[in-house]
Amino acid sequence: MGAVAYVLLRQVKVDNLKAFSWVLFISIVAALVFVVADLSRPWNLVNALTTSFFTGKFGLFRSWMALGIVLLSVAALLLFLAALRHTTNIKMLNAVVDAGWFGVLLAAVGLLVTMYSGFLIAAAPGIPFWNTALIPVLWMFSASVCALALTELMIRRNDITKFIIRAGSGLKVAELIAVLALVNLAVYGGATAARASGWALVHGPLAPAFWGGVVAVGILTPMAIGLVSWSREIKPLLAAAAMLALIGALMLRIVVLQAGVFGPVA
Amino acid sequence: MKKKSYGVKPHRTALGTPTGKVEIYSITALRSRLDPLPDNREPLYTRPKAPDEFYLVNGKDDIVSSHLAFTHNAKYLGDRAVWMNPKDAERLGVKDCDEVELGGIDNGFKARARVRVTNRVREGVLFAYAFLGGRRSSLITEQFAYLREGVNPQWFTTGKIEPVVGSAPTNSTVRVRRL
Amino acid sequence: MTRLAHLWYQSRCTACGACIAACNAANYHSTDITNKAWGWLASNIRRVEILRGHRPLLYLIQCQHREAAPCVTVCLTGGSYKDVDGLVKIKPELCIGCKYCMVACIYNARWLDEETGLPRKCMEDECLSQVKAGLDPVCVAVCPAKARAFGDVDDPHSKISRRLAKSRYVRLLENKGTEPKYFVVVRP
Repeated sequence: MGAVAYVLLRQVKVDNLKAFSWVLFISIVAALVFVVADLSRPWNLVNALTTSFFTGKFGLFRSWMALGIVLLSVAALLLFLAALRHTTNIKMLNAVVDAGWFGVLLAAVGLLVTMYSGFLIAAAPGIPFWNTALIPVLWMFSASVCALALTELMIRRNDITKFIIRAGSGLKVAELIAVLALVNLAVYGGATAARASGWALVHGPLAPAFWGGVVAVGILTPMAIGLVSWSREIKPLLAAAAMLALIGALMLRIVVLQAGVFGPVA
Repeated sequence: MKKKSYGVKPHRTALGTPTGKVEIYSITALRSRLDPLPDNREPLYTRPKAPDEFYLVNGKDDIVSSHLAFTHNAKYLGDRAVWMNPKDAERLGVKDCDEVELGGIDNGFKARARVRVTNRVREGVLFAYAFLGGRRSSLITEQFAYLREGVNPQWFTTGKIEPVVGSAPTNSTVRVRRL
Repeated sequence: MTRLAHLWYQSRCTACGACIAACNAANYHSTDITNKAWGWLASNIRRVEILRGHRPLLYLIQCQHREAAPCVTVCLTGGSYKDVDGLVKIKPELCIGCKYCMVACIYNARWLDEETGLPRKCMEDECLSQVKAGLDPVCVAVCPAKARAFGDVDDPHSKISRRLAKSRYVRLLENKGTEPKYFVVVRP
């Protein structure tokens, strides 16, 4: 969603997006590094991908993992071009990155990168807790807040800060509703395994991380700061809210992953 | 093969008993002027009375032998937990995989084990496989450290033997304390 | 069409563990590494016991070689694939170890082999060579209670088809669709 933020910022003619664009690029590279680090056979990555591409077995249209790798790579490329554009002064590069279609493409890829990991785990039938359409939507709200947080930390413009405070509050409410809905539906309407996962989050071993980390630190505190800031903006407080929101988003993904358990076979 | 019909005894030759049929009393006992039929006697251990006291019975399956226990697979295929009925577990506040302390009612010996809550054992009774876990030899290497888990049911027995036949029951009674 | 499948007699199984141990011995050279995914030994068969029901039940869970297996759908490189003989197999050269197939399996029939990084499951090398040579997989071959069978369910004269014809059987999690090919016989 940072990429979406970047595109919107260019729309409102923010200058000096150099640092912002590099941070976005580094984040995507970090994402790719984390993906590769989690593999249990990373040494086979290049060989496997090239072989599957050239033998037509690559699962672009059936596997979210395949689509995710492609999206991350495309996003990395586009963000690299954008970051370069703000660092160097190559006419052709400027023309490409400043073009309307580039902005649309970057925003689309950014949105898809945000949501693909949500679809990825939602499409895994082995873990009932994750099999809900709510997860990619929740991911989108959470990532949008992160994009706003990043913008707040890096871009200094009053009108943008005002927008962030208002949009951020709205998105935080949406995120809170989505998170509580996810857990509520798992606990009250879910399959056996989903219920177990839900209870683990509500008052099981993951409860401190969920209520303390995700809800209190990641959602309620930034929301409270945001509401206070409608009338009076205190810069350090807003920066703190942004940091907490980013931490909360990370914790959300971690606890959702950790809560997932397999269902019973009989 | 001739089909069996009602009233026709299936065996052709008589058995080596006084009546030629299956007899369920012990001739040896008779000759020793003892009652040849089994009867109900008090067990050689104190019966459980309190709500936290149980019979401890034991048994085996194919993994449970002194030899087979020392294969790597026995770590997972063998069960070194003490079985408890769900109603008893609920009463004592014990959950599956909780650790408890067993104390022999007759000899006071104490040992710890994990509990498996299962309907495979009746209320008032605990079960543990014999000669699988609860090993204490100092020669056990790290690889087989899992064999130290669990209890050896013989630890809680009185050691008394039955008259005439001389068998030593390995059943006992224990007190359970939640840890 | 060939559709190879397993059959397991829940009613005859004595829970001796021979099939589990044989799988470990034949396919994984009797390794004693811990299967961390299952808290189990390095074998493709795991035991699930229902201990709080009205009677104790045992299930032996292994790859069900489903017709439309989710692990095949989600594999990005095609490393997890359905072969023409009906078995779901792994191509190690295409596997990057993303473990997506592991969370896609509703039976939790895959475990991570930390030495090779592969998501292991029923039908590894030794059993595949056995099957290729027209023999039974090792779990079927070692069962002392005659509680297992294997063969082509599309061939009415195969051992498994003949047994299925005179048995009452169920399939696990059948309601999820995608046709599992692991038949559990519930009556003697």
